[in-house]
Amino acid sequence: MKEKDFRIHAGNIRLSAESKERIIRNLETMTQNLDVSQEKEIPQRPIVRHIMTAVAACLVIAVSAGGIYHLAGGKSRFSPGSAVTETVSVSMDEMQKSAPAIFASLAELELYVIPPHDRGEIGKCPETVSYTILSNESQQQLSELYSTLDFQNPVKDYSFSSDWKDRFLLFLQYEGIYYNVQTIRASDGNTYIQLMCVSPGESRGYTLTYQTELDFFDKANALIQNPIGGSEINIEYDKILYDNLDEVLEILFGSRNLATKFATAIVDADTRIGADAMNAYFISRENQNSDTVQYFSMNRDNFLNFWRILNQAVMGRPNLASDLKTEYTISGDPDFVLYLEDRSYMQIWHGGGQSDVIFHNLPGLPEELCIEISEEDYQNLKNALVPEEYFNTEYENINTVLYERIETELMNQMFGGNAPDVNEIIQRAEQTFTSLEEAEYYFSVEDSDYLLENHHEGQYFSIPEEKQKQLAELFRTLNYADMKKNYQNGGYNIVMYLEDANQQKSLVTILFYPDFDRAYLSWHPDGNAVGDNYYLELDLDTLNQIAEILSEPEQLFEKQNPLFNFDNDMFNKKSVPFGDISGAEERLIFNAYAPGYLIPTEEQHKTLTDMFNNWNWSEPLTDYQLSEIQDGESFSIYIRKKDGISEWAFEVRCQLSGYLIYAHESAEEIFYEPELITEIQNLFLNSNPDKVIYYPPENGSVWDEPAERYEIDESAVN
Amino acid sequence: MNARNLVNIYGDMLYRICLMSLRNHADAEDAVQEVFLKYLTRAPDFDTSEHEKAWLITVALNQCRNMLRSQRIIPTDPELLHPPENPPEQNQILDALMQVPGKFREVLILYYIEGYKIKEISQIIGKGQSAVKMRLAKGKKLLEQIYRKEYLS
Repeated sequence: MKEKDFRIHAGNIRLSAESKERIIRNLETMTQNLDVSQEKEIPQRPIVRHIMTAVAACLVIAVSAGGIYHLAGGKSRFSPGSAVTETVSVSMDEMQKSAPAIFASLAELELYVIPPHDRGEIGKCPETVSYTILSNESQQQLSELYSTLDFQNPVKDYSFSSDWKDRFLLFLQYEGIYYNVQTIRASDGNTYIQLMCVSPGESRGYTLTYQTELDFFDKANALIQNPIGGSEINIEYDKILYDNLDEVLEILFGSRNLATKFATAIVDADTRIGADAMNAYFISRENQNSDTVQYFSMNRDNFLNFWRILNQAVMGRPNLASDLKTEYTISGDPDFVLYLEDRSYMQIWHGGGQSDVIFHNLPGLPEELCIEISEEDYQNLKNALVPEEYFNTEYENINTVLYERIETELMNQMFGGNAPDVNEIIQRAEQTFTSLEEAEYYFSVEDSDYLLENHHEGQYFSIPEEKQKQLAELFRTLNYADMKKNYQNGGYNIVMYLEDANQQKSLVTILFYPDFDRAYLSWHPDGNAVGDNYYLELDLDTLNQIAEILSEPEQLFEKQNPLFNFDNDMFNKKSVPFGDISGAEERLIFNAYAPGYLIPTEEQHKTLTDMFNNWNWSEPLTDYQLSEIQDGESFSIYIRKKDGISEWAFEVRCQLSGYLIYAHESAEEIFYEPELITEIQNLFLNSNPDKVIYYPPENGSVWDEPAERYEIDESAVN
Repeated sequence: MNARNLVNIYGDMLYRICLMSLRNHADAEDAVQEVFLKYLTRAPDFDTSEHEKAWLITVALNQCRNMLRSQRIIPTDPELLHPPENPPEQNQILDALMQVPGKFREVLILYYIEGYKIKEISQIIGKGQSAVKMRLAKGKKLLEQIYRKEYLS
């Protein structure tokens, strides 16, 4: 069979119609509330700027709220996921037509109040302003009161200035547009109601003013002074004065949006739990001692039951928006911590007559969300945490674990590939490694990254008994509890074939990255290099000791391996620092949007070497989404090094967004260094390179490799 | 492009790629959904539909790598992954393909199933052409070994 004839028939793998519909539905739901708008310039209003300049900062409140908003100038700063989804505009006519409906709808709208303040209080500039969320009943009464306004006859020549005695503010959202209602008692004793559009956009700031009965202010004030239920959101006073009204609206109206997103996140998790891949673990404080964390797995049925109870406890509340707190004060330790596979987790607290659930890392939501639950719900949740298996991990200090390391280390241990059966595997690994002196033991050596092609072909060596004992002794010192599952790599330097005292065959592979200064030992318990493996990072001393022990083989089986006469060069050679490209054979700059590879001059090479040597490569970002980072324009530096023993190539990919990606054949490390990228860009893109290799190179590869043809073996698929 | 069009045009292709990367139906569907969500919220402007398709594949592969890195993926029973229309020998090759390590598998999928050229794969996965060729060669060797072991021995 020729290459061109070989095809893998997978075209019949399709999404089912139901799955497609479900995905479409989910996408439509998820994108419904997302902010996909771009930042919009908000035009400045010179007259307001003038007022701003003229009036002392503390007196700015004397300008209408619409005016204050425009003082913000600049840009709308609604963040993604904001309650405000797009720029909207409303004309004066539209506002006039909408006014009766707006006030008639007060009972159903999300409504926030800045309580009355007189001019004296404003002058004192309080530190925070409370936005009161009114109860439905209060809003109903307010709606009835404001519906008595004479909408047909707005006041046309009322000029709101410093002529007021006291006032209060309502913020509301009606049909996607934000409004501010000021209820003002003027110094002449009259009450004026001003309705203003304060939504971001180009046509805003229109104001409608109504005059009403003298006692209107007192009636309305009575309703907002005595809210029935509700809660408060404290916002720094300065934010409504200067340039943060966008942020204020986001905080206020984002809370209901938050509730929607919260509900979606919970439901989403619920959906995922339906999948077999979902796993959950929990920690019970009752079972902890000072140096050990015990965590438990749950089976799917128990977890679904727990989630059902949680749903009942937190969802469907009439005031979910106000029940969810992003700020809270709870001291002590949580009674339970439950971890989900999507890296979200929740702490369940109980004590002092109160029970709370704190959700962490729910997708698309603030890092922490706290909600109080009843004693009954707490007991039900506690009883639903039914352990299936338990696992131990040791830490010096339980508090450190809970508050600083649990989210990363322990969760990595739980979900980062460590399957629940790993304890058994680790135990077996330890037994195998530490009894090497009793084992049949062979090894093979390769110098490249492509050992898997040949490892079964029979380049095996044995080592003397004494060396085998030394190796067993060395392996006793390794910490097998640190083993993680399935190291993804492309090959190995050393392969060891073991048959332990129980005639169990397994495979050990060692991989050394000279350019990373790292080495890994992987154990393949089923003896299959393609199957699951469990790996440990080896320190270089241990690696060198292993190499030394293996350097004196006893017997070569089958054919001679020409690479075997290694004299430790492979391991003793000076490892190359991560960023050291001095001596690199070629340094190639590839601009993704240009047709050629640039070969830098000697001077550029030296400068680049200095830049890389001075750069701190030891602190890559640990939490990143590669797909996001890789968006946008980039250019790359391709570097190949040879040292007489082996060669390796790596790529430094520079995203103009500021991310620097060190890409090796088997790994990628991400850094954030916009300045370095700018320096590199300036070094190469505005200079005359030595030469340009136009893409594609004549010989098919930038490394001048001969074009390779890979014919698949017919017997492979016949 | 709206969600429905996206799913109708690219859903099967991305699902194929994700399924063969993750070896689990539910996770593959999650991955596809996540890719489309990223498209709907963050996709850049595309010059051509090919550019758009390549972007989706790149994001899908990254999504799968991230999921494999951060989650415990439990492979579905291989037989449940078989398209019923496929002859048995083709499903055997698919089974073998799914046992090939990830970085080789994704190149094989793009080359032999999605029909991309080496140069295009190089752009999609962000590796040099020589690396793609090497992975292709290596992947085929591994595929052969696995196939021989599972079905010919």
